[in-house]
Amino acid sequence: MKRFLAFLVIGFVLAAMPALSATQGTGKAPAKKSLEQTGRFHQIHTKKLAMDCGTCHQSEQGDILLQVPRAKVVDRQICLACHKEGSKPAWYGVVAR
Amino acid sequence: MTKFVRLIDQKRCMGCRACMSACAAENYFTPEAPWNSMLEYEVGTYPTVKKIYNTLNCMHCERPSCKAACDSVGAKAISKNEFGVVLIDYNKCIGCGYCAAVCPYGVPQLNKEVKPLYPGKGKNGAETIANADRHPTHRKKQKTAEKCTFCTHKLEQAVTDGKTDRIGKDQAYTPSCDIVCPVQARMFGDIDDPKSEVAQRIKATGATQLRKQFGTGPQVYYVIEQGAKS
Repeated sequence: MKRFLAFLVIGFVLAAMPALSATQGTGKAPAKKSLEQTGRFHQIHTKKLAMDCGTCHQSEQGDILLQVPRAKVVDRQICLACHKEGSKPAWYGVVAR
Repeated sequence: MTKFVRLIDQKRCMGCRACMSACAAENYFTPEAPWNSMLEYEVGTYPTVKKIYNTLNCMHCERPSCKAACDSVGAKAISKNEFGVVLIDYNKCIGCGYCAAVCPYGVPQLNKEVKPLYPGKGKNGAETIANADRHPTHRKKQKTAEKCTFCTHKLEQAVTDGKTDRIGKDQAYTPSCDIVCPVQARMFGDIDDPKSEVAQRIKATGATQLRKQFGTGPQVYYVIEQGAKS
């Protein structure tokens, strides 16, 4: 009986491991570097940093200087708040090498 | 030092889009990746309203955010050359789109598919030229980021011909968008040469860069129309 229970527990743990690792994002190949929702860019912001979509995608219209022909843009002022010089990764104000 | 800059005068621009057409012909535009676009919007309240025409190319920033993002993903496809021109190496580009996502001006465009400029009408004249016969910046590739190059093929020609002093003056050595403007709303030249027309006009008009708060040091100056977004 004990042996049966031990097998049952081990079997359950083994069966549950892929699901657990998927939810925790461990043991998976790194997300592709792309802007798609499944890509690294969105994964870092939404999963790692737990940011809501609305944090960046604040309005349909966005900034007038980013309007045409670019749809669904994020106002870069939002990016600037975190990615300025001195932060990691810094994208704005960084000297080109 | 030589630092090439562009001046765009919003007060003169009438939105004719000749600059866009010239760029399309010179640089083999594809529908998904225009290198030059025209923003058009109204400001003011009735009856005091006016239309703003804001043409946008690459700003060729001194501290380009596109390059910082590209380097951060390890692609290192973006460089800034001795003329201050920011260029994308299509052979190194991995098509991640990070450059497009971070640019404060939304300039780089990801060419997901290389389509003819006029869909359903076949290839236009320039599109029939084989990639191998084109300048490297005109060798269109799928899933590759593209943007304005300050017509770098013309600048290179000026170097080859020993005519760098004619950049911004001669048709052969000046970006096409800047030479076709019918109202002289665009100008190109060396800002480090105090005698150059562009340097003098920037000084005289108080022209400034757009979105300076990003600290990227754009090399395109605008004479801002009253009420326009900057």
